[in-house]
Amino acid sequence: MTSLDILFGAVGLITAASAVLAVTTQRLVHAALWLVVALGTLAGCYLILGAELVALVQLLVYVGAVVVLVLFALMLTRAPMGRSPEHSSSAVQRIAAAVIAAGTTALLAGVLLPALGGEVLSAQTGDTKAIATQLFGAWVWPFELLSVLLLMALIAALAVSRMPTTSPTSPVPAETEST
Amino acid sequence: MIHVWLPLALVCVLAGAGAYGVIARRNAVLVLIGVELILNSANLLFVTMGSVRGDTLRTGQVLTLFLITIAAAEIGVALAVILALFRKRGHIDLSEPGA
Amino acid sequence: MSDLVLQATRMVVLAPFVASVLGLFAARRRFASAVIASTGGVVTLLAGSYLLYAVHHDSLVGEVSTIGALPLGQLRMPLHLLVDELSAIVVFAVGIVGLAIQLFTKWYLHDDDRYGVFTGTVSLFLAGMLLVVLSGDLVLTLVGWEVMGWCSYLLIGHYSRKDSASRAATKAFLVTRFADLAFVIGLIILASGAGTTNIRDLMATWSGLPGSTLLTAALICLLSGIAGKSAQFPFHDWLPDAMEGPTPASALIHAATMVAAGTFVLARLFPIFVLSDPARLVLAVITAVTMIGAAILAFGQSDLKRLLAYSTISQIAIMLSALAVAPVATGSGPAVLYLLSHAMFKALLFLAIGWLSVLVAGTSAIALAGGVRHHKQLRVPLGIGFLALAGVPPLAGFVAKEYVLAAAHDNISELGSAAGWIVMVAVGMSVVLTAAYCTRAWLVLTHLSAEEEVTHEAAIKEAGEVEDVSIIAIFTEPASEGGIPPGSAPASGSTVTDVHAEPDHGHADIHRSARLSVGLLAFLSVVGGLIIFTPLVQVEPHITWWLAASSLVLIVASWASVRFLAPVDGIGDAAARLGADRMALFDRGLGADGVYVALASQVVRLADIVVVADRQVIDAYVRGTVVVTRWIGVTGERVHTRKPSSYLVWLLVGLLAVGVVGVTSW
Repeated sequence: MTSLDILFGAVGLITAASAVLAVTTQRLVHAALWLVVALGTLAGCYLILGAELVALVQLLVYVGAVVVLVLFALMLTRAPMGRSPEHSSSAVQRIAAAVIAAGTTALLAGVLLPALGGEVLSAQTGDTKAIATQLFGAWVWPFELLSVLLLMALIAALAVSRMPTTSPTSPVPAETEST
Repeated sequence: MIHVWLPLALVCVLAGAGAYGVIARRNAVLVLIGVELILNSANLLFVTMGSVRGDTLRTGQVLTLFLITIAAAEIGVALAVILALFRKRGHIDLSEPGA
Repeated sequence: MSDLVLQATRMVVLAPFVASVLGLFAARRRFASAVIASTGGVVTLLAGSYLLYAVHHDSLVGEVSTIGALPLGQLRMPLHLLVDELSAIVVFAVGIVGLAIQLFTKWYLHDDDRYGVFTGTVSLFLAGMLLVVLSGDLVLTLVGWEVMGWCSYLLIGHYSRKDSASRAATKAFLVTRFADLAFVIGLIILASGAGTTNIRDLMATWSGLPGSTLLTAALICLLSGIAGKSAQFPFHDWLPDAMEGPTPASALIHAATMVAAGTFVLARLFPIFVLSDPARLVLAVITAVTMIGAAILAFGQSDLKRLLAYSTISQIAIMLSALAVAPVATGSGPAVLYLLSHAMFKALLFLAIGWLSVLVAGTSAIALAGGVRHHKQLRVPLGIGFLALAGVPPLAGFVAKEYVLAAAHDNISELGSAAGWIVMVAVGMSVVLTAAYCTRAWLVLTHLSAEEEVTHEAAIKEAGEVEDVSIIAIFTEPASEGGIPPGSAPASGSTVTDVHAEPDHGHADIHRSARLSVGLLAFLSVVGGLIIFTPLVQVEPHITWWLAASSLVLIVASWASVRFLAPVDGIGDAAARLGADRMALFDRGLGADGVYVALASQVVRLADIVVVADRQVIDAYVRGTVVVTRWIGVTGERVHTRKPSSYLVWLLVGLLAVGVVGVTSW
C-alpha cells in the first residue's frame, strides 16, 4: 500500500458514499448537493491519478455548470424543499433497482478486476502540454465535431423550450387516435 | 504507484449507484443525476486506463474530456425537455403514464 | 442547281412557315395577320412560279439540302428536298389555291374574333403540304404529313365554342392518326429495306426487287395511311363531319390539298408502286367501293356542304384509281392531272357555296334552295364548278376524267388485270352518279316556285339587301301549291339545318379580293384542260374519242333523268323521292360513325378494365402496406405503458443482459 493508494482510497470512499447518498436521499435538493460532493471528490481522484487537466475541466464543467443546471431544474419544477417520501417509487421498484444495480456492479467488477486488477500505474504529472498537443493534433476532427454537437444541443434546447405547450392548469387532453 | 484495483472498484460502485438512481427515482431530475453518475464512472475508467497504458495520443484523457463535453450537451437538452414536460403536464413524475 | 433555285425551293416551304409564326404573334390584330398571311401566300406563289419556270425552262431537276443529313449510322437520312416536274406543278397549284383561300378568308371571317389564329394555322398547313410536295426524303414527308393532320384538327375545330366542331375535329384527328400507324410502318419498311430515307435512292434500290412480298406489305401499309388522309373506305367518315369547319378551311384542306396529299405521295412513289400488283389491286378495290358509295351518299345529303364532302371522297377515289391502273408507260400523269383540276374546281365550288351560305345564312339544301336565282353573281362560279365536277367538255374536269378512263382502258388492253376492269366499271358508274348529284344540287340551287318567280321579279331592284327579304318571303307565304309551306321540309332536313347552320355573319358585301379568288379559280377550272398541251404535266396530249363520247352520253342521260325525277314543289330536290327516312340514313353516312364509335368503345372498355386492375389489384398491394403498417403500429402501441420509469427499467435490464451475455460468451 503506497501513500497514493491510501490517499486514493480515502477520497474514493467519500465519492462512493456521496454518490450512494445522492441516489437514495429523500430530500431532492440534498440529492443535488450530494452530487456536487461526489463530482468534486471525483475531481480529486483524477488529480491523484495525475490527470490535472481533466480534474480541472471536471470541476469547471460538471460542478460548475451541470450541477447548477440540475439545481435550476429542481427549482423550476417546484421540487419540495423538505423531506418528500412521495417522490420515492414503490418498494417493488426499489428492490428491482437494487437488484439491477448490484448486477451492474457485479458485472463490471467481474470484468474489470480480474483483467486489470493486478496492474500498477505510476501517475504522470505535468502532462497537460502533451494532451493539448494531441487534442489539437490527432484529435482535432472529433474536437470540431463536438463543438458542432454543442451548438446543436444549444439550438435543440432553445427549440424545445420554445415549443408551445398547454399550461399546467389546463386539463390533460383526451387521448386521440392518431391518423 | 497506485494499485489499479482501487479506481476500478470505484468505477463499479459509481456505476451501480447510477443504475440504482435511474430506476429507483420517480423525479426526472433525480433520474438525470443517476445518469450523470454512470457517465462519471465511465470517465474514471477512461482516465485510469489512460494512465495504465499511456500512449502518445493520450487517448484516455482526451476521451474523458470529450465525454465531459458530451455529457454537458446532453444534460442541457435533457433539462430543456424536462422543463417542457413540466410546462405541459404540471409534474415530472416518471411513474405516471404519459398523456 | 443554281443557287437561286435552291433558295427558291427552301423559300417555298419556309415562307408559309414564317408567315404562320408571325401570324401567331399578330393573331390579335386583324389587319396585321391579314397582311402577313397574304404576303406569305404571294411569296410562296412567286417562289413556286419561279421553280416551275426553272424546272421547265432550264431543265433543272435535282435535290436541295435542308438542314443536313442526320448521322444515324447505317441508315442514311440526307433530308433533301426534291425538285422535278411533278413537284413543281403541284407546288404551283397549291400556291394558287392557298393564296385564293387566304384572300377569300379575309372577307369570310370578317367578324370572327379568331381570324388571326385561322390564317396562321392555314399558313402552317400550307407549309406542311408544300413540305410533303417538295420532300425528297421519307422523313420530311412524314413530318409534313403529320403537320397537316394537326392543322386539319385545328382548322376543323375553329369554331371551338361549338361542341359538334370539337367532336368533328377530334374524330378527324383520331381516324387519320389511326390510319397513319400503318403508314409509318410502311415508310419504315421502305426505308430500312433500302438503307436510306432518300426517295430517289430507295426507289432505285426497290426497283431491283420487283416481286418482293416485303415491298407489297410496305405499299399496303402506305395505302392505309393514304386511305385515312384521303378519306377512303373504311376511313371515310371523318370528312363529312369535317364540314363543321369554316368553308375556306374545307376548300383548302378537304378539297384541294390535304386529301390529295396521299395521291401525291403515291404518284411520287409510282415507279415502285407499279411493281406490286397485289397492292394495286387492293387500291383499285378500295377506290372502286369508295367512288360508288360516296357518290350514292352524296345524292341523298340534305346539306349541300356535306354533298360536296362526299363528292370529294368520290373524286379522290377516282384520282387514286388512276394510280392503281395506269401502266408503267403512262405513269402518274393522269392522276396528277386529276389532282390539279380537282383542286381548282372543288375549291371553287366550296368557296362559292360558302359565299352563298353567307348570303342565306345556312348550308342545308333548304336554306340554299333557289339561292343562285336570288344572287345572280354566283351563277357563273357555281355553274362552272358543277360543270367541271360532272365532267362536261371542254372543262378541266372532263379532260382529267378522260385521262383516267384512258389509263384504265390501257390497263385492260395491255395488262388485262382485274384492277383495270374494276376501275373502268367503277369510273363509268361514277360518271353517271356524279352527273346525277351535280344536277340535283344545281336544280335545288336554281329552284324557284311560281310565287317566288313573282316575288323575285318584284324585289329585283334591291339587289344588295334582297337576301333577307327572300327568306322572309319564303316563310311568310301562305300554304299554297308551289310555294314552300313552312312545315313541308323533310324531318331530317330541319334537324340538319339546326346543326349545320352557318353562323350569321351579318354582312353580305363581298370584298374585291375574295371575288378575285373565286374568279381566278373559275377561270382555271375552265382553261385548266389546256394544260395537257404544255409539258407541265406528264401526259400525252390525246383524247380517246369513243371514251369521251360515251361518257358525254352518260352525263346527258343522267342529267335528263334527274331533271325528270326532280319534283316541282318543295325545293326541287330530286333526292326527296328517296323519302325522308332514307335521306336521314344517308345523312348519317349509313351509320359509319356508329361503327367507329363501336370500335372505339371496345378500346375504352379495355382501358376501363386496365384502370380497375390498376386500382383494385396493384394499388391494393400498396394500400395493403398501409393497412399492415397501421396494424403493426396499433398493436405495438399496446405494449407501451407510457410510464417512463418502467421504460428505464427495461432499458437497464436489457443493457445488463447484453453485457452478461457478452462477457460470458466471450
